[in-house]
Amino acid sequence: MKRLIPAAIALLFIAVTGLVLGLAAKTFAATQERSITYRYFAEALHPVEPGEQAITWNPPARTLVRDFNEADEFLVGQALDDAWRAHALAMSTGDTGLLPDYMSGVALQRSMQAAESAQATGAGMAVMELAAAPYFYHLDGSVVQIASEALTVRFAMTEGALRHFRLSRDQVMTTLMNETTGWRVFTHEMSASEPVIRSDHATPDATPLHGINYYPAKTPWRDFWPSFDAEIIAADLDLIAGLGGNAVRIFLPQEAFATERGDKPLEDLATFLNLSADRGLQVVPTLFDMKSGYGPATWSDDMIYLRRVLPILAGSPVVPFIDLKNEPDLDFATHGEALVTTWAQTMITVSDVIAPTLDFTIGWAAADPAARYPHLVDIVSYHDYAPIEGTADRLATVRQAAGARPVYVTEIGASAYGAAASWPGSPEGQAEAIATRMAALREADGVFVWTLHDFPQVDADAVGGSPWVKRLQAEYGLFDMDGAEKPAAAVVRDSFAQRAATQRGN
Amino acid sequence: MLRPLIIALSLSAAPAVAEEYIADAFGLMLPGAEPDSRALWSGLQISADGRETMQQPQAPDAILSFAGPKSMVAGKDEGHLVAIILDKYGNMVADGTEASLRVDQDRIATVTRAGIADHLFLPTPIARTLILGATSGDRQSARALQRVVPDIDSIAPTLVTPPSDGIPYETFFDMATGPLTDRFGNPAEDGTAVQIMLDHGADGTSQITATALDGRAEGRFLSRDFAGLAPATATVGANGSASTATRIQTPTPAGTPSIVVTALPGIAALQITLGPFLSDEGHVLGDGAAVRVAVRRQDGTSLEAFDWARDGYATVLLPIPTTDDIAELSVTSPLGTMDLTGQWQDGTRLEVME
Repeated sequence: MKRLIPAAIALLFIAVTGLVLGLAAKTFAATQERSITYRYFAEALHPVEPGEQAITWNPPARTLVRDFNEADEFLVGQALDDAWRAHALAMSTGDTGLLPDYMSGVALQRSMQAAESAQATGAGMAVMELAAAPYFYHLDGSVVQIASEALTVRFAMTEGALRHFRLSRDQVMTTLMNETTGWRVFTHEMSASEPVIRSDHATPDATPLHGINYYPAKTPWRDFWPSFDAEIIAADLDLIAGLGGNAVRIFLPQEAFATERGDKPLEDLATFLNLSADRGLQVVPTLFDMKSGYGPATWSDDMIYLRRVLPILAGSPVVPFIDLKNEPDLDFATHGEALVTTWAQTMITVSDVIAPTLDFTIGWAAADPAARYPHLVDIVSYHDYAPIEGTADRLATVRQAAGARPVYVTEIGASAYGAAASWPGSPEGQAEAIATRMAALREADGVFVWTLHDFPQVDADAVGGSPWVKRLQAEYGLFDMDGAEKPAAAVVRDSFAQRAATQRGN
Repeated sequence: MLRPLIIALSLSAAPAVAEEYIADAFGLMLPGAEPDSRALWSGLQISADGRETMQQPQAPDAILSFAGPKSMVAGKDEGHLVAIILDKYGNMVADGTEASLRVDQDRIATVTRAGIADHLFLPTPIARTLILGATSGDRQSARALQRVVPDIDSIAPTLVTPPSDGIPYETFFDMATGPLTDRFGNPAEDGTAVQIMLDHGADGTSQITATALDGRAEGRFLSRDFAGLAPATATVGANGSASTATRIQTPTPAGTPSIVVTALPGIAALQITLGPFLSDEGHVLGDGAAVRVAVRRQDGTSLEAFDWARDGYATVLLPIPTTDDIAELSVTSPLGTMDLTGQWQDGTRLEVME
């Protein structure tokens, strides 16, 4: 009997625990379920507006028997844009299901074959933009031929590495048929191709930079450009100048500068550059922040973004170089190292078509990729949040790999957040960590501290949803949430002064 | 002999086969890794070391012909015959490839540009179906058919004159056009829409859309609710016929309608219901026929009220508080104008609505 009682208690415990877990699981499942009833398909489905076409139209290449008007330009342009996106997507994924929507006849058969073989050969292709001119137009509008100069990138990735890369301006002739669902590419042939080689960017001078990574305190990350406030930014730039900084690193999310946002963000960008110039600050703009993917089907969108922002940046005297992308190595695991680096090479090469005078870097999240990919960039940069004791060694390694290229450490910093008893951080600990890191980076051509302000609201899209990480991220600033200087500000001021003095001495 | 050796050494030394990728219009091909046919796609091919090869198309193998616009107007619109000429691999044939285009009985010799041969032509003045096609080398396209349609803009319609003694009331009657031909004598195609309209002046119009058959059109009307002269016209496209005088005989009323008056003291008004309106052929006035009631009051002023007939009756509302105030009453309908004053004074039934 004595043995039975503990056994009964154990069984009861198991039964109650199972019941509680079951109920909890059911409740959780119910909270996760989303059910909305729509009366009509149109209520449930939201059609995606076509984006901007990566195409410019030139006058007809020869006399046409039918006027090729603006509506034709839009419809045929959309068909070409869609067809090349679908082709790029099919080559990168092997899924050819979309192709018949945009191609027919000979072109469909060839595109499908190219997509299928690309899965074996690792080949890829993306048409970055088209300069097109109508060449032939059937009187009843059922057949059109377009002569284009297509800026096209072709690449091959095998065994996780880029094996072949060619950017070229191709002269192509594309025949489209006006079928029941609209224009579809029927044939496509290339008659000439001129390789686009990045111009010789002589090793840039190592402009000595010591600065701050910047977001406004109350509108960081995605809120920066939509909530642009010149007065707040001017005051913040005064703070950076007051710390002795001579540079500021900022972020230009692709979404914030999308065509549908109009010219306002571009005007704000010009304002930011002018405000910085007024204070003697150099600006390192970081492009493609929070980019969500690297698929070749979207590269023409990236080209449109570059065409919008690069002319403004190239026209400013305070932009020493461009940071193509913040920490793309963090995307290696998700998107593949070869694809990410191929995208980076493509973007830097096509940027040369738009603004050949601009030098480029990539803001790697760690020293290792910076040391492995110096050939992609004019200036090598990386972020160093790794253990402080290895800081100088990592810099030495990167500098050796970089050769004659300048080396900048564009993010260092520490959180002052302390959960309890100065753990994991404290304002004093933050100051000490930055001082030590800055001292170890004495030989770097530039150092940027993350960041000017503590943030009351941390963007989960940027740092993830973990409450712990968000709390840490909130307190990396040199100024606290009340705008008061933290001890780290004084450290940074001293370090910047020492770097400035050293530079003057040199 | 040295060159193949170097290539062999480079292939064995490097697992990457970058040297072998060849750029073409659809991306990169790796010879040996896909069907040989790709190497035969015409156009420029560029090897990894930059060597360019222009793959030439073969002889014509397939011809796709397109003719348009779909319906050409006789003697007016230009037509466009287009032939896309492909070789057996689907390549556009070389520029300058000879082609012969057929437009009905004509043969036009031409050459291709960017794989296309084309010819603009004026249609004959005769409406019919043209046969078109193209040949190149020893190949020919499928036959293309293109219709030449009459020039509707040049059709001047006429109407057949109706009987001079008029059309009886309350009967179906047909209005027919004369021959509908364009300036070249081509009859309007079967199914061509012809609007035939009777004008009733202030009472509106009657209109039907007839369709041409064998070069003529005919439409049927019902002579109800209107009478007297109704000029008729026929319209094809933008062209109308001259007006044709059509007379609808006035119907003869069968007696006078009875009158029911309802006093509405709440609003100081009278509601007068008249009917049935009957013709001598036993028909009641059709629904929608206009009925106008005219009243002269004791103080000499006049009032008019209007209604559409329904089931042979019409009802009007007059802002008159008592029946005694009405000195004269008449009603006008397609049955003519009837003086109902005597009937009003003698035996009108009065109902009062509280």
